Amino acid sequence: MRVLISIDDTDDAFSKGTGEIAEMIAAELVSAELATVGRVTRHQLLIHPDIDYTSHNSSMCFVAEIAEDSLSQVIASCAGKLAAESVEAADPGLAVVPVDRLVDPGRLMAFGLEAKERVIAKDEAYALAEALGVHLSEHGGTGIGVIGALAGAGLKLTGNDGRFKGKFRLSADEQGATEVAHIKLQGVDAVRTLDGDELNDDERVLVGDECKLILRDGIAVLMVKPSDGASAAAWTVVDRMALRSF
Amino acid sequence: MAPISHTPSGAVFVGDLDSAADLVETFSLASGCGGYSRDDDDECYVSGDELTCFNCRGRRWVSEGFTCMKGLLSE
Repeated sequence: MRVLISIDDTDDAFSKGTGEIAEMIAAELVSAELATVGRVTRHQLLIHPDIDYTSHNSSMCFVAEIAEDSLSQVIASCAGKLAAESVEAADPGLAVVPVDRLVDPGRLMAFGLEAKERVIAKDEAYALAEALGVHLSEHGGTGIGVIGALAGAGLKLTGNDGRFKGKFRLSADEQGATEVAHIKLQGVDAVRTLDGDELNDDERVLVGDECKLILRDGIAVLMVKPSDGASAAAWTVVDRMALRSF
Repeated sequence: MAPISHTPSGAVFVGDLDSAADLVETFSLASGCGGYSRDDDDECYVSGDELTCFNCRGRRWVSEGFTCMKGLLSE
Protein backbone atom coordinates (compact mmCIF):
# COMPACT_ATOMS: atom_id res chain seq x y z
CA MET A 1 0.00 0.00 0.00
CA ARG A 2 1.05 3.57 -0.61
CA VAL A 3 1.53 6.01 2.27
CA LEU A 4 2.64 9.61 2.51
CA ILE A 5 5.03 10.33 5.36
CA SER A 6 5.31 13.96 6.33
CA ILE A 7 7.16 15.74 9.13
CA ASP A 8 7.54 19.29 10.38
CA ASP A 9 9.09 21.38 13.16
CA THR A 10 12.07 19.16 13.89
CA ASP A 11 14.87 21.67 14.05
CA ASP A 12 16.22 24.89 15.44
CA ALA A 13 18.22 27.46 13.53
CA PHE A 14 21.49 25.59 13.79
CA SER A 15 20.58 21.89 13.84
CA LYS A 16 20.22 19.50 10.92
CA GLY A 17 17.29 20.40 8.71
CA THR A 18 13.88 18.76 8.52
CA GLY A 19 14.67 17.54 5.01
CA GLU A 20 17.71 15.67 6.22
CA ILE A 21 15.68 14.04 8.97
CA ALA A 22 13.02 13.03 6.43
CA GLU A 23 15.74 11.33 4.39
CA MET A 24 17.01 9.56 7.52
CA ILE A 25 13.51 8.29 8.29
CA ALA A 26 13.18 7.07 4.71
CA ALA A 27 16.59 5.38 4.82
CA GLU A 28 15.71 3.57 8.04
CA LEU A 29 12.46 2.25 6.53
CA VAL A 30 14.40 0.96 3.56
CA SER A 31 17.17 -0.63 5.61
CA ALA A 32 14.58 -2.39 7.79
CA GLU A 33 12.93 -3.63 4.57
CA LEU A 34 9.69 -1.97 5.64
CA ALA A 35 9.32 0.20 2.54
CA THR A 36 10.51 1.41 -0.78
CA VAL A 37 10.53 5.18 -0.82
CA GLY A 38 10.31 8.12 -3.19
CA ARG A 39 12.18 11.37 -3.06
CA VAL A 40 11.56 13.96 -0.37
CA THR A 41 9.72 17.14 -1.33
CA ARG A 42 9.66 20.46 0.50
CA HIS A 43 6.38 22.32 0.95
CA GLN A 44 6.21 25.99 1.91
CA LEU A 45 3.56 26.96 4.44
CA LEU A 46 2.29 30.35 5.57
CA ILE A 47 4.70 32.87 7.02
CA HIS A 48 2.76 34.72 9.71
CA PRO A 49 3.59 36.29 13.09
CA ASP A 50 1.06 34.06 14.86
CA ILE A 51 2.79 30.90 13.63
CA ASP A 52 5.67 29.46 15.63
CA TYR A 53 8.33 28.33 13.14
CA THR A 54 12.11 28.27 13.11
CA SER A 55 13.08 30.26 10.05
CA HIS A 56 11.04 29.35 6.99
CA ASN A 57 7.99 27.24 7.95
CA SER A 58 8.25 24.41 5.50
CA SER A 59 7.44 20.73 5.86
CA MET A 60 8.95 17.66 4.20
CA CYS A 61 7.14 14.68 2.73
CA PHE A 62 7.87 11.47 0.86
CA VAL A 63 5.93 8.56 -0.59
CA ALA A 64 6.50 5.03 0.70
CA GLU A 65 5.23 1.72 -0.58
CA ILE A 66 4.69 -0.65 2.33
CA ALA A 67 3.13 -4.05 3.00
CA GLU A 68 -0.58 -3.97 3.87
CA ASP A 69 0.05 -5.35 7.35
CA SER A 70 3.04 -3.20 8.28
CA LEU A 71 1.44 0.21 8.82
CA SER A 72 1.85 0.18 12.59
CA GLN A 73 5.48 -0.94 12.27
CA VAL A 74 6.15 1.83 9.77
CA ILE A 75 4.58 4.44 12.02
CA ALA A 76 6.63 3.22 14.98
CA SER A 77 9.83 3.38 12.95
CA CYS A 78 9.09 6.91 11.70
CA ALA A 79 8.10 8.15 15.14
CA GLY A 80 11.19 6.67 16.77
CA LYS A 81 13.57 8.21 14.26
CA LEU A 82 11.78 11.55 14.31
CA ALA A 83 11.96 11.75 18.11
CA ALA A 84 15.60 10.68 18.12
CA GLU A 85 16.76 13.17 15.50
CA SER A 86 14.69 16.24 16.38
CA VAL A 87 16.30 18.82 18.66
CA GLU A 88 14.98 19.33 22.17
CA ALA A 89 13.70 22.81 21.40
CA ALA A 90 11.62 21.57 18.46
CA ASP A 91 7.91 20.73 18.32
CA PRO A 92 7.93 17.84 15.86
CA GLY A 93 4.88 16.38 14.18
CA LEU A 94 4.39 13.26 12.07
CA ALA A 95 1.64 12.43 9.60
CA VAL A 96 1.32 9.04 7.92
CA VAL A 97 -1.38 8.97 5.28
CA PRO A 98 -2.62 5.69 3.79
CA VAL A 99 -3.40 7.16 0.39
CA ASP A 100 -5.55 4.36 -0.98
CA ARG A 101 -7.70 4.19 2.17
CA LEU A 102 -8.36 7.93 2.38
CA VAL A 103 -12.06 8.57 2.75
CA ASP A 104 -11.95 12.04 1.24
CA PRO A 105 -8.57 13.01 -0.25
CA GLY A 106 -9.98 16.35 -1.35
CA ARG A 107 -10.29 17.47 2.28
CA LEU A 108 -6.64 16.69 2.96
CA MET A 109 -5.54 18.58 -0.14
CA ALA A 110 -7.74 21.52 0.81
CA PHE A 111 -6.19 21.53 4.28
CA GLY A 112 -2.72 21.71 2.78
CA LEU A 113 -3.67 24.61 0.55
CA GLU A 114 -5.34 26.40 3.47
CA ALA A 115 -2.14 26.08 5.50
CA LYS A 116 -0.50 28.32 2.93
CA GLU A 117 -3.17 30.97 3.39
CA ARG A 118 -4.33 31.08 7.01
CA VAL A 119 -3.28 30.28 10.56
CA ILE A 120 -4.58 26.84 11.58
CA ALA A 121 -4.99 25.51 15.11
CA LYS A 122 -3.64 22.16 16.25
CA ASP A 123 -7.07 20.78 17.12
CA GLU A 124 -8.22 21.40 13.53
CA ALA A 125 -5.41 19.19 12.31
CA TYR A 126 -6.22 16.42 14.78
CA ALA A 127 -9.94 16.58 13.96
CA LEU A 128 -9.26 16.24 10.25
CA ALA A 129 -6.76 13.43 10.73
CA GLU A 130 -9.28 11.49 12.79
CA ALA A 131 -12.04 12.06 10.26
CA LEU A 132 -9.85 10.91 7.39
CA GLY A 133 -8.18 7.94 9.07
CA VAL A 134 -4.72 9.52 9.02
CA HIS A 135 -2.07 8.90 11.64
CA LEU A 136 -1.04 12.20 13.26
CA SER A 137 1.26 12.40 16.26
CA GLU A 138 3.46 14.83 18.12
CA HIS A 139 6.91 14.00 19.43
CA GLY A 140 8.10 16.73 21.75
CA GLY A 141 7.70 20.35 22.73
CA THR A 142 4.30 21.81 21.98
CA GLY A 143 3.77 19.33 19.15
CA ILE A 144 2.62 22.16 16.96
CA GLY A 145 4.43 20.51 14.05
CA VAL A 146 1.41 18.25 13.53
CA ILE A 147 -0.22 21.09 11.58
CA GLY A 148 2.61 21.40 9.10
CA ALA A 149 3.06 17.65 8.90
CA LEU A 150 -0.57 17.12 7.91
CA ALA A 151 -0.50 20.11 5.56
CA GLY A 152 2.67 18.84 3.88
CA ALA A 153 0.97 15.52 3.15
CA GLY A 154 -2.04 17.35 1.72
CA LEU A 155 0.14 19.48 -0.51
CA LYS A 156 2.12 16.48 -1.69
CA LEU A 157 -1.15 14.75 -2.49
CA THR A 158 -2.14 17.61 -4.81
CA GLY A 159 0.89 16.72 -6.92
CA ASN A 160 1.34 20.40 -7.63
CA ASP A 161 3.27 21.92 -4.77
CA GLY A 162 6.83 22.12 -3.62
CA ARG A 163 10.34 21.37 -4.69
CA PHE A 164 12.33 18.16 -4.51
CA LYS A 165 14.98 18.11 -1.82
CA GLY A 166 18.52 18.28 -3.12
CA LYS A 167 20.10 19.61 -6.24
CA PHE A 168 20.80 17.58 -9.32
CA ARG A 169 23.87 17.61 -11.52
CA LEU A 170 22.91 16.56 -15.02
CA SER A 171 25.54 15.28 -17.40
CA ALA A 172 25.94 17.27 -20.60
CA ASP A 173 28.31 17.82 -23.51
CA GLU A 174 31.37 20.07 -23.35
CA GLN A 175 29.17 23.10 -24.00
CA GLY A 176 26.99 22.30 -21.00
CA ALA A 177 24.00 21.33 -23.12
CA THR A 178 22.07 18.12 -23.56
CA GLU A 179 18.85 16.80 -25.09
CA VAL A 180 15.63 16.49 -23.14
CA ALA A 181 15.63 12.73 -23.81
CA HIS A 182 19.01 12.49 -22.05
CA ILE A 183 17.77 14.61 -19.13
CA LYS A 184 14.82 12.28 -18.71
CA LEU A 185 17.21 9.37 -18.17
CA GLN A 186 18.59 11.15 -15.10
CA GLY A 187 15.65 11.22 -12.71
CA VAL A 188 13.69 13.99 -14.36
CA ASP A 189 10.19 13.15 -15.59
CA ALA A 190 9.53 16.18 -17.76
CA VAL A 191 11.12 19.43 -18.90
CA ARG A 192 8.78 22.40 -19.05
CA THR A 193 8.83 26.12 -19.61
CA LEU A 194 7.64 28.52 -16.92
CA ASP A 195 4.42 28.78 -18.96
CA GLY A 196 3.88 25.05 -18.53
CA ASP A 197 4.68 23.95 -22.08
CA GLU A 198 6.51 20.63 -22.26
CA LEU A 199 9.69 20.35 -24.32
CA ASN A 200 10.10 17.58 -26.88
CA ASP A 201 12.73 14.90 -26.39
CA ASP A 202 14.94 16.25 -29.18
CA GLU A 203 15.13 19.80 -27.83
CA ARG A 204 18.36 20.92 -26.20
CA VAL A 205 18.86 22.52 -22.79
CA LEU A 206 21.83 24.23 -21.11
CA VAL A 207 21.87 22.49 -17.75
CA GLY A 208 24.61 24.37 -15.84
CA ASP A 209 26.15 23.15 -12.58
CA GLU A 210 22.98 22.42 -10.63
CA CYS A 211 19.29 21.90 -11.18
CA LYS A 212 16.34 21.98 -8.81
CA LEU A 213 13.21 19.99 -9.59
CA ILE A 214 9.65 20.89 -8.72
CA LEU A 215 6.57 18.74 -8.20
CA ARG A 216 4.01 19.28 -10.92
CA ASP A 217 1.20 16.91 -11.95
CA GLY A 218 2.70 14.40 -9.55
CA ILE A 219 6.04 14.18 -11.36
CA ALA A 220 9.53 15.69 -11.09
CA VAL A 221 9.75 18.62 -13.49
CA LEU A 222 12.79 20.61 -14.60
CA MET A 223 11.86 24.20 -15.42
CA VAL A 224 13.56 26.01 -18.29
CA LYS A 225 13.48 29.40 -19.99
CA PRO A 226 14.66 30.53 -23.42
CA SER A 227 18.42 30.98 -23.58
CA ASP A 228 20.13 33.80 -25.41
CA GLY A 229 20.55 33.35 -29.14
CA ALA A 230 24.28 32.68 -28.98
CA SER A 231 23.97 29.67 -26.71
CA ALA A 232 24.52 26.04 -27.60
CA ALA A 233 20.88 25.29 -26.83
CA ALA A 234 17.55 27.06 -27.22
CA TRP A 235 16.67 26.54 -23.57
CA THR A 236 18.41 27.00 -20.24
CA VAL A 237 17.56 25.74 -16.76
CA VAL A 238 15.96 28.44 -14.59
CA ASP A 239 17.92 29.63 -11.59
CA ARG A 240 16.76 28.48 -8.15
CA MET A 241 15.83 32.09 -7.43
CA ALA A 242 13.03 31.78 -9.98
CA LEU A 243 11.73 28.69 -8.20
CA ARG A 244 11.22 30.30 -4.82
CA SER A 245 7.46 30.52 -5.29
CA PHE A 246 7.18 26.75 -5.82
CA MET B 1 22.02 51.65 2.06
CA ALA B 2 20.41 48.34 2.99
CA PRO B 3 16.61 48.30 2.61
CA ILE B 4 15.78 47.75 6.28
CA SER B 5 12.40 48.48 7.78
CA HIS B 6 11.59 48.58 11.48
CA THR B 7 8.44 46.54 12.07
CA PRO B 8 6.75 44.78 15.00
CA SER B 9 8.90 41.77 14.04
CA GLY B 10 12.03 43.87 14.60
CA ALA B 11 14.46 45.12 11.98
CA VAL B 12 13.48 43.48 8.70
CA PHE B 13 15.44 43.31 5.47
CA VAL B 14 12.70 44.12 2.99
CA GLY B 15 14.87 43.87 -0.11
CA ASP B 16 13.75 41.98 -3.17
CA LEU B 17 15.59 38.92 -4.45
CA ASP B 18 14.98 40.17 -7.96
CA SER B 19 16.87 43.37 -7.25
CA ALA B 20 20.57 43.17 -8.05
CA ALA B 21 21.24 46.13 -5.75
CA ASP B 22 19.45 44.45 -2.83
CA LEU B 23 21.34 41.24 -3.48
CA VAL B 24 24.63 43.14 -3.39
CA GLU B 25 23.60 44.62 -0.04
CA THR B 26 23.20 41.12 1.36
CA PHE B 27 26.64 40.16 0.02
CA SER B 28 28.06 43.11 1.89
CA LEU B 29 26.16 42.41 5.11
CA ALA B 30 27.00 38.70 5.09
CA SER B 31 30.68 39.12 4.29
CA GLY B 32 31.01 41.48 7.25
CA CYS B 33 29.17 39.17 9.61
CA GLY B 34 31.17 36.88 11.88
CA GLY B 35 28.13 34.67 12.44
CA TYR B 36 27.35 33.85 8.82
CA SER B 37 26.51 30.21 8.24
CA ARG B 38 25.02 28.82 5.03
CA ASP B 39 21.63 27.22 5.55
CA ASP B 40 20.60 23.77 4.40
CA ASP B 41 20.83 23.87 0.61
CA ASP B 42 17.10 23.40 0.17
CA GLU B 43 16.45 26.65 1.98
CA CYS B 44 18.92 28.69 -0.08
CA TYR B 45 17.61 30.92 -2.84
CA VAL B 46 20.85 32.15 -4.33
CA SER B 47 23.07 29.79 -6.33
CA GLY B 48 26.81 29.55 -5.85
CA ASP B 49 29.11 30.04 -2.91
CA GLU B 50 28.74 33.79 -2.48
CA LEU B 51 27.90 34.87 1.08
CA THR B 52 24.41 36.37 1.18
CA CYS B 53 21.93 36.81 4.01
CA PHE B 54 19.32 35.21 1.74
CA ASN B 55 21.15 31.90 2.27
CA CYS B 56 22.13 32.31 5.92
CA ARG B 57 20.85 30.04 8.68
CA GLY B 58 20.54 33.10 10.87
CA ARG B 59 17.84 34.77 8.79
CA ARG B 60 14.22 34.22 9.62
CA TRP B 61 11.58 34.84 7.00
CA VAL B 62 8.68 37.07 8.01
CA SER B 63 5.82 38.47 5.93
CA GLU B 64 7.78 41.55 4.86
CA GLY B 65 11.19 39.97 4.26
CA PHE B 66 13.60 38.50 6.77
CA THR B 67 14.96 39.30 10.19
CA CYS B 68 18.43 38.39 11.45
CA MET B 69 18.50 36.07 14.46
CA LYS B 70 22.05 37.27 15.11
CA GLY B 71 20.86 40.85 15.43
CA LEU B 72 22.92 42.08 12.50
CA LEU B 73 20.10 44.17 11.06
CA SER B 74 19.41 45.89 14.36
CA GLU B 75 22.94 47.22 14.73
